[in-house]
Parts: sequence; C-alpha cells; structure tokens
Amino acid sequence: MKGGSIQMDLFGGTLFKEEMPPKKVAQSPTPSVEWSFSRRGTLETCPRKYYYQYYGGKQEKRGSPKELDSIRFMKMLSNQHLVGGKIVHSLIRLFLTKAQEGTIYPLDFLKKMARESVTNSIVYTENYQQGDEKKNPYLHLLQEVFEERENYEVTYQEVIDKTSTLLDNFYQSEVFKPFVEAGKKPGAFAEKKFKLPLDDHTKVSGEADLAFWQDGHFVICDWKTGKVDDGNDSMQLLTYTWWAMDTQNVPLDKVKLYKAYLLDNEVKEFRLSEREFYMNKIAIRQSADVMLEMAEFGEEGDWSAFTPCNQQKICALCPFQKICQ
Amino acid sequence: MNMEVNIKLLETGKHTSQDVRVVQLKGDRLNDEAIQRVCSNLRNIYGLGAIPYQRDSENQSLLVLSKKSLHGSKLKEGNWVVELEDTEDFITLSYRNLSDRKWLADLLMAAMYARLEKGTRFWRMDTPKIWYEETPFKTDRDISAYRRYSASSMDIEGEGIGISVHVETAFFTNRSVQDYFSSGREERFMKLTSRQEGSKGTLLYRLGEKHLKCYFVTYCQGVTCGTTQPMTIEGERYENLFDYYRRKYPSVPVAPEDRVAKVSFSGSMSDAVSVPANMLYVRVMNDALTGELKQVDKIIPSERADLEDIFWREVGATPFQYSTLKVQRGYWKPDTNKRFHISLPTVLCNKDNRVAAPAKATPDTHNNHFRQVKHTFDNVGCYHVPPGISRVIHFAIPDQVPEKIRERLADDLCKKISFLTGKEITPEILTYRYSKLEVFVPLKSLQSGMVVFVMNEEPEAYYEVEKELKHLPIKRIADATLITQWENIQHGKERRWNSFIELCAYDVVVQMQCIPYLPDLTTSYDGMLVIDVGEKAKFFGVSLMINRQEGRKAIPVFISNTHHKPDSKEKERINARQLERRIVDTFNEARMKARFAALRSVLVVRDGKLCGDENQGIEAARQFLIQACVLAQDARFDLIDLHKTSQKEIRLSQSWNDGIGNVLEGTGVILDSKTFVLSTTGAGTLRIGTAHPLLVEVKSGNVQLLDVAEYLHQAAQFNFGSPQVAQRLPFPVKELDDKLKTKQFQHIPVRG
Repeated sequence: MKGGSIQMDLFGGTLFKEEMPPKKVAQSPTPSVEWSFSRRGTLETCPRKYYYQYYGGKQEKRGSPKELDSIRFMKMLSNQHLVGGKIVHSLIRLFLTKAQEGTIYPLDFLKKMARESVTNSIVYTENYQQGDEKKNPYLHLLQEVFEERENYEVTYQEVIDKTSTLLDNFYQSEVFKPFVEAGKKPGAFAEKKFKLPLDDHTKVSGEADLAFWQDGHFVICDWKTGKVDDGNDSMQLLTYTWWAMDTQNVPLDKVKLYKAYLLDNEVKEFRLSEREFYMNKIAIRQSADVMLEMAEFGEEGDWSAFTPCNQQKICALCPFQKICQ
Repeated sequence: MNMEVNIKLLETGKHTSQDVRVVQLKGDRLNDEAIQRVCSNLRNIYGLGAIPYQRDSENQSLLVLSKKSLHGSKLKEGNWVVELEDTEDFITLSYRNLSDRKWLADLLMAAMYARLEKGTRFWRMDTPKIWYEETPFKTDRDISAYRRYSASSMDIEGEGIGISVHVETAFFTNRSVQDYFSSGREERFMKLTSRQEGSKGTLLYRLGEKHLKCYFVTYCQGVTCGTTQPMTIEGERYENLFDYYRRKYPSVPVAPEDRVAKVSFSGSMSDAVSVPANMLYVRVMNDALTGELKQVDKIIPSERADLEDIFWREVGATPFQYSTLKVQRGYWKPDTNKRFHISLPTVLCNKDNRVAAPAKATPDTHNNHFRQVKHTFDNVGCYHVPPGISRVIHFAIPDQVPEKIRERLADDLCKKISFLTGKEITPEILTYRYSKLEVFVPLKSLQSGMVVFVMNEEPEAYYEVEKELKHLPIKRIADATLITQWENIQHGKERRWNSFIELCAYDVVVQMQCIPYLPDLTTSYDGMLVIDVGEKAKFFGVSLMINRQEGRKAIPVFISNTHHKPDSKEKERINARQLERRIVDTFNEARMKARFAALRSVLVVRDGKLCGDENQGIEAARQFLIQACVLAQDARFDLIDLHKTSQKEIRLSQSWNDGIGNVLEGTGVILDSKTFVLSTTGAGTLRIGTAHPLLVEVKSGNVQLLDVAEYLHQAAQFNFGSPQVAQRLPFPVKELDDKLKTKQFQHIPVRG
C-alpha cells in the first residue's frame, strides 16, 4: 500500500471548540449572530419582522433618521399576548429574589403591581414622548394603545384579569409549591441569563426562569403563561440543559426539566435523551447557519432580502406592520 | 418514424365548440378558493363539470356543463352560502377564439372529472386529478400496489384540445393503523410513514365508500371509540366517537371497542381530530419499499399503453359529463412539423480522441455511442485535469471497518483515479471511532485536497462532516454500502466491486475539478444558469455552466451552490433580492476560476416554475453583470421553466420492429410556440420503464425552441456519473438537484 496510515482518536472530545483553539471573531469577515429560541421563532415566522427586530434599528447607512427612530420605537412595542407574560415573569423573579433575601411579598401586593404595571403602561403609551423609555424602564409600550385600536381598555382589562389568575395560581397552587419553595432558597437561579459559544461566529443565549439543585439533580423550571399544548419546544429545553451542563457541570441524566403551566395549574416533566440532546444541538447549528447567511444582508440594511410573511393573523400582531413594505 | 404521445385529441380538433351554462352565484361574496369549492361541490354532489368564470365587484359566476337548470340550488360550506341563479343563459366556447381555449380545456377537464366521479369504478383520495384502480395489482406482505391515473387537458397548437393520461403506481398498507399499534409493530409503522425522517405520515382514511387523505398525529393508546370524551360537532352533541359514527355514518361499521387515532386533514397539528384507527391505512412512499415492489412502478411503454387503454375504456369515447364531444380513437401522432430529433453530439476525449456522433439514429447506434464514450474514457482518462490537482486523497474510515477493506478501498480507488487523471495519487487513511459527536479534527487543518469519507447513514453525521470540512470536497460512502461491496469480493463477484470502485472514481475526479470528456456543444448559448428550490423549500440553489471560454482548449466551468431559504413558507418562490445576490456571486466565482470573454447569451433555466418577482431578481443580476463586464452589453438571458415533473405528464413512445418502445434519446414534441417536451433518455440505453421527458416552457420572447432543446440535450451528455447510459437532466441541473437533495437530507427536522 502506498501513502500513509494514521490511527487517531478523532472523536475523543465532546465539542469541537475544546479541541481547536477558537479563532478570534474580529479577524473573520464572517458576520456573527447570537442565536436564541425567540430569535429563531421570529425568523421562522416572518423574515421581514426578523430584519426589523434584529437589524432594522441599527442601520445608520440605510434609511432616514426618522425611519430608524420609527423602527427603534416599534421594537419596544408589546402586544396584549406578550405583555401579560412579561409582567408575570418579572414579578415572579422579583418575588423569588426578594424571598431569597428574606422578604416575602404578599399575593395582593404582586397583583397590585401587575395591575399598576398595565394601567401605568397604558398612560405611558398614551403620552409617550421620545426618550421616555429611559425614564420608565419598567413600563411597557403597548401596541394596541399606540395604534389607538378600538376598546383597548377592555383588551387590557382582560390582560389584568389574566395576570391576576396567573399570580393566584403561582402563589396558591399545590402543583407549583415545590418549585416556588425551592426558588425561595438562596442559591436558586431566577431568570438567569446565559450565553454559550456554539462556534466561532455564533453564541447561544437564553434565560432560565428558575433553576436549583435538589437531591443531586439540577432542576430547571420554565414558567408558561399560555395554555397547555403539545408543542415541541425541545430546542428551548436543550439550551437550558446545555447551560446546566456547561456551567453547573451536571451530567445530562441529572438534569430535570419542567414546564409549569400557570394558567392551567399543570406541570409537565421533560427529559432529553442523549440523542435528542445531540440532534437538537445540530438543529440549533443549522438554524444558526440560516441566521449567519442572512446576517450578510441584515448588516447591510438590505431589508428587501427578508421576505414579509403576508399572513393576516401574524401581521395583525406585528409591531412593524405600519412600516412593512 | 411512428411516434405516439399519451394524448387523445378531440375528434372535432380545431373546430371544437361547446355550449355552456353561465350560472350566477348569489349570496355571500366568495374568494377564489371558495369559488373552487363551489365547483368541487357541483362535481361531488351533482356530478357536473364546472369552472369559475367571472368574479368582479358585481358578478360571480361559473361555467357549467349541465343538461338541467340549476336554478335555486343552494350550496353551503363553512361560513358561506350561495344560491345558484341559472337563467338558461348559454354561451358557446369555441376553439377558434384564442381567449376561449383555456376555458374550454379547463371545463372539459372538469367534466371528465365529473364522469370519473360518478360514472367509473375508480376512486380518488383528495384531488380529482388522480384516480386509483379499485383493487391492487400486486401485494407483498403488508403493502399493496395500486395503479393510478392522472388526466389533464392542454391546448395543442394547430391540433385542438388534447387530454393526456398518465399511469403511475401508488402503495398503501393493507393493514390498518390499529393493526400496527395493537400488535407491537409501531416501528414498522414509523418506517413506512417515514416519520423518523420528519414526514408527518400520510394516511388513507377509508370511510365507507369515501377515501380521504389525512396526516397522522398520534395513536391514542388505551382509548376506544366508546371511551372518548363527549363532543359537539355543528351544534350536535355526541356521547363519544362511536355515537358520532353510529348517527352520522350508520352504514359504516364501527364498534365501541375500536381503537382511536388522531389525524389532521390540513396537515396542521392544531386541528387534529379523532377517528377509528382501523379505518386508517398508510400511504407508503417509494423510499420505504423493499423486495418485489421496488420495481413495479417502472412501467415499460407497451404495458403503459395497455393501461392507458384500460382507463379510456372506462371513461368511454365521450368522456365529458353532459357533453357529446368525442376523443379520437387513437393517440396523437404528431406531424413532422411538431416533432423533432436532436442528434447526439461528438464527444471530445483526452489525447485528442473523440467519439463521433452516430451517423444513423437507432437504438443500437445510440447504445453503441454511450458505450464508446465510457470505453474511451476508461482507456484514455480525463479530457482535462487541473494542473494543481491534489496528489493525496484522504480516506476517513471508521475503525469498525476491517483494515483490509480500508486498504483495498483506498488502494483500488487511488489506482483508478491515478489512471484517469494521469497523476500519481496516493491514499492517506485516517481511521476514526464512531461517537455521538462526529467531529473530524485533523482534516480541518488541510488547506486543500480531497476526502473520501466513509460514514454511517445518519444525516447529522453528514452535516457535521460537511460543515467542519466545508473547504474540502467530500465523497461520501455509506459504511453499509462498503461492507456489501466487500462481500461481493468474498463471494467471487469481483466485477461488482470493480464497478463500485469505478463509479466512486468517476465521482471523485469530477469533485477534483477534472472534466472526464466534453460533448461538442452548440454555439447557441455561452452558458447555462440554473435556479432551483429544494424539496420542502428550506434551500435554494444557483448553478452555472460556462462553455465559451478564452484559450486553446475548451474547458467548461461548472459551479453550483446552495443557500438557505428562510422564507420556506413561500414554498417555491425565491426572494428576488437574495436571488440577485446569489446569481452575481456565482458569476463572480466563475470569474475567479477561469478567464472568459463577456458572455453574449445565457440560457436561464428555472428548474420548476418562475415564481413571484424572481424575474426581477434575475434581471437585476443581468444588469449588474453587464456593468461588471461579465456579460456583453447586449447579452441575452433567455429564460425557461424546466419541469422535471408536472401535472401534465406527457410520455412519448414509438413503434419499433419488436413492438412499442421508448423514443430515441433527443426526441421531442412541440406543443405550442412556447412549449415543448424533450426526452433526453430513451430507447438507446433505457431498459426498464418509460422515458420521462422534460417539459420546457419558454418565458422570454424571440427564443428559438430548437436551440433551447439542443442545448439542453447536449448539456445532458455530461453524464459523468454513468457514461454508459443517457442522463435525464442537463449537467448543471443535475448537479444542483443533487446538492439540494443532500442539503435536505442533512436537515434535522425539529419542531418548536
């Protein structure tokens, strides 16, 4: 036989990054992206919305200052379906972090804060002046109010009612008690933001609602404010698991994942097999490949390369519908 | 030449006319989809052929073929109701009027579907365009094969309306979903539905006489028709699923103990409904077939003709419901001005060898030509070898593969490649261990070279390898294939191993930028640009062939790239701006690779159909490339749609001394001034089945159909993968198609 033959242990490592020193991103002409589950969702739903959300407001070379201001403003808008979830998530985080410091906020206080958050956000949106967001970082700009849609008061009363139910259930339901009690203890993570390197050009970011050690397992709980569904969000669960494995040095079989449905008082446990973990990681890489390819257009401010979805139901909820061409 | 097309013309030909009712729709304003639903209802309920006619702010009307008045009939569906106003207002559609032709063709087709619906033994699933035989013609274990027919109408310029009938084969399980799940054969079910590969799983729902298409959602373990929750449907409350079927479909046998599965009729998981699992059967895709059934979808022309006759006997000579129009007894035999034959080109080989174009066009001369091309290539090697070709081929082979197989593969392949390239090429074998994370580190440090990667058949492994080694060409060999081929040697079938090595070598030399041989191309076009969207629309691609170059020796340039398509919901339509950029990128890459004078004419092939504003992207790219002097100032971009498959499936056949057979490679038929079919494969080398012609629609003005046909046919002679047989697709089309298939294979379907 001609040539050589080399016996090597090629797959000994766990990740490519551990075996090859990462290149400095600054030296590479390839754009970089920060992959997240929600970013992926936006790109899948509507590429044009994805452009406005992740590139539109940054393009100083393209568009007039007025247009850029419009995009930046619209990026701040929340609609009725999002704002309730945002408020409840932030109040749960507040409750748990305060509890870890020894202060227990009563349920009525949380509900009052939720109510005020909505009502103050309405007033704030009605009277918004450019730059106000810096003075009111905890208030939300409400899309329906800004667009002066009919009966927005009624819409947001429903949001108040829903947040009240969600908080009632969080506070009182027996099914959530083990999580709430564990979350109140020091050392538990509440809304922990993380970033993990995927490759030279991609980071994966996420936010774990609640995580804590319990009986040798690392427990991760994701608060859900919508209805119980069978939707497969295994990619999102993978990011939490990956974060746990990376930062807590916990093996896969010691990670416990739960989805806590606050509206329906239900908790579902999920487990990722080694194969599911691996496959989801590949799926994230593939999803990041799409983002990287589109970054070329995004960074040039080339909005026309991002096809609008033109789907009535999606457009109706989109904050960018007024500027969407 | 006695050529026949699977089309029957109307007896009245160009003099065809038909009186039809104009029926007004009163009531709710309907969109296009709802008006189509009205037409479907008229076919399903009344057995009538109907098509949409006018729809503006004041009128919404249909054209209907009916003996009786439809006045006063009401149709209701979902959130709309319409009443039919039929004032015995007739119009005459005449073939002589150009504007009537499409209506006439569509209405006659609708009337034929109505005949099929009410007057034949055939059944259909969803679309009225495809009709199945009552009983299977072959069964192997749990899979049954059915013949199916698809009919479509078309205007054939100068001849009149024609109806084509195409015969195919479909496979269904003869066991129900309940059978698989209640007998522990879920794995078999998953395999047959291809759910592991991300498919939803298409099912046939047999509801009494009705056959419906739906998609598998889940099997409800432990749930029976008698134990489902109460439900309310259209205001009616039912105690359980059994109660629903008992009252709604009293003639359909359902028992309380029948198991339940959830299915979706739209394909969306959100509208899943429960149905008895013993009424569901799997629509088996061809990929899942094994054994005897694998070849039964290959139908030879004589058998195809017999099957078409069966269909026509069933629908009769007057196949249009409530029309006296007749189809001709025989099939369409195009006149000489409608048919053409393109000769095989001379093929230039290494060391000034050439295989001359056959002097006579017969199956034998064609067969001999292809054999000569292979023989010459095998004996003289590649026509062009890049001077800097890598002298080492890296073989990455799992350590599970025995050492002697690894070495034999590497040695035999390098020996063959060394001969074909005329360069001493040596192997370097790297063995690796399978692991859940397939990452191949050492090869990443290579600046250039060629890698032959033996790997398992998992898409994720393939993706990882291609991603990590994206700067290197990779020849993938499945480990199972390698072992099977090795067993051939063990069983004394050395020739099979040699054929395997030969095919691998052909592929590798092409990946190493060699040109095995060069068909003498027409001068009509300087290059071919191909645009295609992959299956499931996750990727699109652009490929380019430039055949006009500067220099003493003609060396064509081939480039083919795939790109992500984030707007996959748009299906076939490519974003115009992305398309423009990728076309320009491709030409720029070509310019980096070779010197060529500004191109004067490019045939732009949209594989499939030009969609949306794609032509704006193409035109913007053309303008840019003119500015960049890649194209001449007056450069032409002649645009065509190339349909590899279409609803109007046309087949050509020919009477030979020994009976009906395929036409010769290069035979075509002109349907009108913009459309032709071209059979690039045929009697010379096709042994099984019927040649599948390409349907070409010219989209630009002032284009010579025969120039296009000739260029496409010649570009199909770059049949490097199997030189001994004709290739169906022009090389740049095939290259891109293969790349898009690879990308789709590698794509991991994860929902959510």
